[in-house]
Amino acid sequence: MRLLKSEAARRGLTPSEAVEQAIELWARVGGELVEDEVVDDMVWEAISARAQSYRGRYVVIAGGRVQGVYDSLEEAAKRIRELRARGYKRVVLVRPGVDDERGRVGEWLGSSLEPVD
Amino acid sequence: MAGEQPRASRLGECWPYRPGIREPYPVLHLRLLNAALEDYGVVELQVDTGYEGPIMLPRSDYEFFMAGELPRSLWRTYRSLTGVVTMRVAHVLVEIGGRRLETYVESPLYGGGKRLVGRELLNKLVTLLNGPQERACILEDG
Repeated sequence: MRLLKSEAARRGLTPSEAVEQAIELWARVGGELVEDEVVDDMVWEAISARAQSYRGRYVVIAGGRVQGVYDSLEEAAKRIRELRARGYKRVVLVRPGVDDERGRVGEWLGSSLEPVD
Repeated sequence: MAGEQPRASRLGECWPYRPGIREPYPVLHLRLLNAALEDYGVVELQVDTGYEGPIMLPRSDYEFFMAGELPRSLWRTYRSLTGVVTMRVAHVLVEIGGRRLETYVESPLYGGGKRLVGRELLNKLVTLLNGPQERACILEDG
């Protein structure tokens, strides 16, 4: 509760406003889009070890299955456009050996700080 | 003489600094395409060398790029002055200075984002920050 109060104060919110925002986020996580996301992400987790044989290629995942593996972005893009025409807003695209080797941790220093009058 | 010789460059496109609260800041203009190679148009991004990622967008911009998003296990986490920030990550094709570069756009999982270009992309470009004239420019191979 103390953490909630201090974090709310830091963001310029009352504790009740902070709770409202938290509930809104929680409700959004239960939405249809997130369910689809979870399924496609799970497909990647299931194939990621095997997918290393596709190193550098483009793996397209949507609708809970692998839609294809392509040699170029142009080829993958063609498939993604077909999927978007069928109503998919989110498509998972992974380049094994590229996307998974760029590092999961970065830094964002204080460079976006602005003075307050 | 041993070693790589610097290549001649010519001044490419330039953009005026934008007014800040006290100090103006440099910006670059990039044309962005999503993984379906659909054109999002030209976006103005604040140059931010303190941001280690490539491009950050607010969620409203980012949704266009979910046409080629990385799975959650490959999203990136950033240490910032105010704590840890998890970013969604998607593929993007960038056009600038006559070049096309495959890189990534990121957007905070929670909360707003900003339009920033960070070190992961800046380090692939030759840029000139002309402070006295308040202009940021791209240098192209001459």
